[in-house]
Amino acid sequence: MNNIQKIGKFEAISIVVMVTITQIILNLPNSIIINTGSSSWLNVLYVSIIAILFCFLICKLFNPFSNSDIIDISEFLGGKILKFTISILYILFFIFISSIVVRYFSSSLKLIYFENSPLVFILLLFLVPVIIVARVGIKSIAKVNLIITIILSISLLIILVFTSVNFVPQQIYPILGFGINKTFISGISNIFAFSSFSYLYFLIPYLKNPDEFKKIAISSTVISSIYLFLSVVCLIMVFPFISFTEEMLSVYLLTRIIEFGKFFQRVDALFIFIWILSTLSFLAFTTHLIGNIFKKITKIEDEKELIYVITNFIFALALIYNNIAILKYLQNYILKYFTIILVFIISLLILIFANLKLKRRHFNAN
Amino acid sequence: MYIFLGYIAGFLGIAIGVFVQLVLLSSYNSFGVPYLSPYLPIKSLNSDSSYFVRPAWHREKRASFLNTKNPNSQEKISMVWKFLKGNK
Repeated sequence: MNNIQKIGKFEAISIVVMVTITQIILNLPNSIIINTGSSSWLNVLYVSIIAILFCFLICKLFNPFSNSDIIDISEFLGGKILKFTISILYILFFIFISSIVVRYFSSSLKLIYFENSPLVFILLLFLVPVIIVARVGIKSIAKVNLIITIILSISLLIILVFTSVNFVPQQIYPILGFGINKTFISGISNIFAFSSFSYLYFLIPYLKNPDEFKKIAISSTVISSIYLFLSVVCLIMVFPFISFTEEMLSVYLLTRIIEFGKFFQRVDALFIFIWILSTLSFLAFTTHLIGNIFKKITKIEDEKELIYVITNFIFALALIYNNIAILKYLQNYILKYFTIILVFIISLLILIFANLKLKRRHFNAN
Repeated sequence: MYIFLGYIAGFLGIAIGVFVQLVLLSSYNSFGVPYLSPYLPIKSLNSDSSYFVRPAWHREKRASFLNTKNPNSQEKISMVWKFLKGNK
């Protein structure tokens, strides 16, 4: 990892924010609203506070391990077996999440614009540029990702502000939705919305200044929470929650009701254009990350040749899903619990036990 | 190229073209200076040569991506009063 390309503070923040906003576009608020109904805004606030506290905890636990990611730490804790297991789990997780994102977005595009085109064609169009771009290196991807994230954030803010005309405040009632139990106890599972933490675990070796990790982690989590909260509030206030649970892209529905006067018609195409850029950026970064994890466990010299294989895996997996119903089931249940178990439980336990081992080692040395 | 991309995939093709071109351009360097500077490696939004430029009388620094020996292009007070005490 010594010859790894380094990225700056803003670029790192933009990567984490971009992951969350891409998920928001691909129906993440809808998954939250299905679970918690009209109390989703309260649930998102609650989950965001937990996520920020979790972020502080992670920063504290990463502190003694300078310039190490979760794989180095798992090697320190459990040797090569644990390192190999965690790496494989994260590779599977990233391939799974990328395949769901690319398939979901391609299916949505097929419904909106490419009714007569085969899905394979749209999927290939997403994955060929990823192969081209991933060979250039992570630094260039991160630079472009920064500018795309800024445009994406502004576009999402425009959507949220312009739809405020259609707000019906009465739709947040009943405030506690399906009850206190669903909102605060079982609703804690909505923390899967912060799956971008998985990227934080691997970010430290890429940073120019690893001391800035705490700033990066906290500011990206806060920005992600704000966007998640705003999007959920908008969706609840604009649509009655039951009516749009079957929709593919709930944020796209918001764009359809925006009007910029009579001259500009169908401005939703502009938002789709920006979302295509963000999806490409997400795929390019994730593919590169998978390559780097693979490089760590196999000790191959150049991970760039692996990009073809990884992209093929993502492409094949994206084609396996038979229909949208299966895709939604995978997104709302399988990916949700996979994220919670891997990102929020296993990784946290590894960090805690590694810190305890380090402390014991220092104690024994003294 | 964009006409071809637009022909095969419409808006999606053009977006792909924009993304690939941006990434390729941002990977280039010309005499050690990033090709898209000062716009793509965003170091500061309101430095003297970036997205938001200060008024002409306030631009005292040279562009940081040029790595000049003297970072200042002019003194803090470039034009002093002619008849100020001590000036001849």
